[in-house]
Amino acid sequence: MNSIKYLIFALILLAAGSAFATPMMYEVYVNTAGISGQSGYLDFQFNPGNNAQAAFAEVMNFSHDGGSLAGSPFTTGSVNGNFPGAVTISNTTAWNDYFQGFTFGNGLHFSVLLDGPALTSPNGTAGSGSDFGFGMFAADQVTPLLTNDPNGFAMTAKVTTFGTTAADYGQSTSPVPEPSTFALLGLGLAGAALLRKKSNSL
Amino acid sequence: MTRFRRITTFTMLLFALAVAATASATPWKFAVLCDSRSSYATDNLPAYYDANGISPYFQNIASALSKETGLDFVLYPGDLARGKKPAMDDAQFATALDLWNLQMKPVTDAGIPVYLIRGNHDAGNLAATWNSHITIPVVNPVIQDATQTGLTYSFTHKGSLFVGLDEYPAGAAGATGYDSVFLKAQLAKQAQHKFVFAHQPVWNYKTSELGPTGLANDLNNGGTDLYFSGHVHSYQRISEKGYNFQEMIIGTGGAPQDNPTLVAGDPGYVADPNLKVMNYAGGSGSNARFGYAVITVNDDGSISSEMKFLDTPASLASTVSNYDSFIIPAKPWKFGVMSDTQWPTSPDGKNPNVAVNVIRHLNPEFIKHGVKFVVQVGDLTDTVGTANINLDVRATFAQDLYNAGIGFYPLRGNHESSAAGAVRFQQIFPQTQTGVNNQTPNLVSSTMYGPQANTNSTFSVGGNYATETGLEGLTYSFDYNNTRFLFLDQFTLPSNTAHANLTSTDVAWVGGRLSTKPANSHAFVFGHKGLITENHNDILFNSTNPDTATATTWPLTNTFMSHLQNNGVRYYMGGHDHMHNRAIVTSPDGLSKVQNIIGASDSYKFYIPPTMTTFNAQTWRPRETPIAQELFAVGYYIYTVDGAKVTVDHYAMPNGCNGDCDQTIDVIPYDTVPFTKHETYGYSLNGKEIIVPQAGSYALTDTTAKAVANGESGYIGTTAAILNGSNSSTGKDYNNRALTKTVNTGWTPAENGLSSDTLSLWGMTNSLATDFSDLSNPNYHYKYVVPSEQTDQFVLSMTYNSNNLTAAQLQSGEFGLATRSDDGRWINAAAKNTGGAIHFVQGPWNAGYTLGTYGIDTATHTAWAVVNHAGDFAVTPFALTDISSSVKVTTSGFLYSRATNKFTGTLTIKNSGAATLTGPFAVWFNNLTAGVSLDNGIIYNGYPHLDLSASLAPGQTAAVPLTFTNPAKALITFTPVTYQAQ
Repeated sequence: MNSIKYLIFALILLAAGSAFATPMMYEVYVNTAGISGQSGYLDFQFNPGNNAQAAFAEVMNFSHDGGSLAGSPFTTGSVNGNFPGAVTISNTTAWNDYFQGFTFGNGLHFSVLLDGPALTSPNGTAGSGSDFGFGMFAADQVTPLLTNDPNGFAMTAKVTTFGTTAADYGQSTSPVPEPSTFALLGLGLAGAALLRKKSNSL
Repeated sequence: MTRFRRITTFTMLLFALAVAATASATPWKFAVLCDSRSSYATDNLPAYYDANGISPYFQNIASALSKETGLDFVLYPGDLARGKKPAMDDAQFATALDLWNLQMKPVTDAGIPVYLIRGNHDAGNLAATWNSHITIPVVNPVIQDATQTGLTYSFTHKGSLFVGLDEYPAGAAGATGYDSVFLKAQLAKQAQHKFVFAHQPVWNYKTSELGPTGLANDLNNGGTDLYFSGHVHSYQRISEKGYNFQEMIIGTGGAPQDNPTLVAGDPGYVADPNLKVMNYAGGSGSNARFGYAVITVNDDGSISSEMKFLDTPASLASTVSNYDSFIIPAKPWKFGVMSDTQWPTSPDGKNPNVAVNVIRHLNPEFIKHGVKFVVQVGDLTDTVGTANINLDVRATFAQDLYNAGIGFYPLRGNHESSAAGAVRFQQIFPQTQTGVNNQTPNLVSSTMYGPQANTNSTFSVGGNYATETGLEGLTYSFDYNNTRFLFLDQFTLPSNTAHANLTSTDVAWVGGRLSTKPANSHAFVFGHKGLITENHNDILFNSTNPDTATATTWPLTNTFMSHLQNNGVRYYMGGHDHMHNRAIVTSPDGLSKVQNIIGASDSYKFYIPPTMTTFNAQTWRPRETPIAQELFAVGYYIYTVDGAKVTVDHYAMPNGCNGDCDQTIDVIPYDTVPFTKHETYGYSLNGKEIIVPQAGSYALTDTTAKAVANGESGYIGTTAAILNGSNSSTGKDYNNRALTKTVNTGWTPAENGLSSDTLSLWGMTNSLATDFSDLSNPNYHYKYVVPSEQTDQFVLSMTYNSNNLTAAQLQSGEFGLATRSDDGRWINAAAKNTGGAIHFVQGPWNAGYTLGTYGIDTATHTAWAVVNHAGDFAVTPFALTDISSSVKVTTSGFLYSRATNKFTGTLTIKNSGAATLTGPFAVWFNNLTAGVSLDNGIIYNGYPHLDLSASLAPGQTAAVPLTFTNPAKALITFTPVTYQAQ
């Protein structure tokens, strides 16, 4: 999907213990130094499959190293909020999308919380889960950046019919960390601290 | 003496009846039409109006019908007159019926009887009025429904059954019921064809006009060939998926016509996805068509139909033009063969000089298999007995067959070879000269079984009966559908003239009967003794040795066998030897080859082939190529004739003593070891045969060219080839001769939906052989190799027509070489293998592929498979089995790609059952959101679906990507239905 050269992801489990039937938060760090100064777009979406149970994705804690938001976002479907505040995307229509103009700097960070009945009380009868997707695009809005995924996604996270989640960084990255891997939690926190420090220094 | 006189008198009376009921196999035909009622005055359709209630067009239609040549009768399923109280009271209705009879008089004056059934307009008036003015013809014996006399009835004409059904109980004006019990009872009878006529349709898009419910199922279950109705004033020929008969609506007798209801939006249209209107005509105004259907029953058993529409309906002198000519091919049909039933003294009383107990166990088998008639190849008795009483016993115990409508066609053996036996045979089996069965004097009550009740009337089987002068009814032939049967007698003539072997006169008669049979028809020849026998030395042409008196025996044999070979006789079948034996016999001049089948014993006697010393001294043995042999078994044969194809199933059971026990106490284990299929073989008139010795190659190539040259139609043109495989059998007969295989091919035209014609393969299973593996066992007497339907492994390929096939379909693994499952579906040919692993390959076959591998070579348009079974093969999408209850199908969310403008995701299938599921699978996306398409799936039969070639253990999952085009970005939903494509 993308190269480790550009992206660093880590995972934080908000609710301690099992990965099942509980909200899940991912911390996402992206090294965008290779496209620093380029204008483009950030794309966030959270869509259902075939007869999914209700769920939502809350994108929060958005920060960046040297970049800047550009203009008002384009939203489709069930989307509430704007950066730099929290943006909540629900899986109620086929395409629930937050598309934000952005001038890339050296890096960016956001947290995504997956929550709702599909995670807290999966009914076992849903025909599908729901998928969160994050991508970066050039100014033409269709050319993917920093990913080899032909569909243009740099990171995805799935909510399954069992209420579990799984994130995908792409084939060339390290294995997807498990929620119980607290070593990664530390790495993520360290990464967060690093980025926050850099951000503050700007 | 008293008994003999009684029997003689009875038989003579029956001969008189038989003359009137003689069957004919020449084509014959009848016409069908109905709905001649006029319009109502208030309809404002003056062209259709008549104050007396009969359409003005009807007399013109009747005039044209009267000029139709060769009609045996007319069927008229109702609505003769406008009728219906209060519009027409009974007196007026009676007048209308009289007028109808008058207008139909040209038809009846032409000698064409008319069989009538009431329609809803007729049923509004009193049934008594109908019965007093309508006469049911009596040219054929009519069986009346006791509860609906004159209204519901049946009759049999030239071997075919006709049932006329009234649908208006107690004079109801609408169709509310029919006598299902009567209908089922009539349809349960044996008949060459079954036709039912009633007024209202069983299928029509305008469902408000349909007749009573349940009728279509009764018709289907009873084996109906065609159902005739009217009521909907038009011509429509309709089929319904899942049913084996067609409906012909022939409401073209002059009643006011409206446009047929055929498409959504038409008045009264109700969708029926299973209904197909094959053809139609008629409508309002100038679209109206008036006329009748002419149905022809052809001598090959097929049914032809064509509509005859009046060119100038307003003219009494109108000519007619043909419309919608079609043919219904003859359905497969069966006959049985049994052998010698002699039995000497019977201490237990079960088999009084005739193997009655064996016969009583064989009769249910023949009835179960639905045969049309049974052949017995001689030695009906041990001796004819005093006053031929034993022949009478044999004849009496054919009664179970007669009661089931099954004919019985015996010939004499050496155990009833006397002149007296010949005369008695002629008397008790008159069907061998007339075709009329169930005339056997049922006067034997001396056995432990008591009298045998006759519960059936006489009935005809086949036609074109012929017999040899001096051997009337002893050497004879008849035709049934596309097959000619010859029965040979080589014993003392009724005149007491010596006759111990076939003579040149007999052989000439055989040649005459065979050379005059219809082109591309089958012929089977039966006699008691064989071309070459196994235990005996005596044959058809010589009483002691086939190679003695060569000056007479050999020329006769050569001529006889050339008659058989040159006229397409593939099997000559006899008895006499009390063992099952098949061999290809070569004539002494080496010019002719015919397969000689010796029937398994149905007697107390089970012969053993000669000792090796004797056997090796028999100079005629090199003229035999042995194929199969089974000793010490009781058996019978079921021949299935399906157009150009013949399949023979040999059923047998052990004789209970594992040897030629010569026991007169009956020890055959009927109740503990049932008859089972021991062998299947066959051939086709349009295929080829190769003789494959042990270790020989099965390689062959065959095409449909011969079928087309034979005049068959409907082929798309297919080539089949056996690319690899050899006869690995090591089986031998009792005399240690290696057994050869005869591999036969045959073709039938492509059915709807198939991408190739259908290939039939026979003869690749291991032959019935002697099991020599247990010779050291002191209790060993004889064992046969346990039969199996598994063949040697071979590779079969067939070309396919690529029209309408998509690349995705060809790559799916769901399309390829298929074979018929036991329930008639086309399944993956590899799925019917014994052992192996099913695996799909794209590309040509190569020698490294193992059993179960199958593939598609798109470069040569060829499907192939490595299989180990015979049967029918075609190239087609495989039948799908719904396994949705055994799997759970889920998807991920579907993300929208700005890069590709597609929605993407993943589908996961999990085996939620307890058994491993063998792929390939197909997940159908039923009810997929409108405007959404599945890009990486296949669409055929109207549904998008995805293919998975994996096999899933219990609990195991498999995932495949999904890509949708969804321009409206609508919520993507669907109902997943999972099929196993085997």
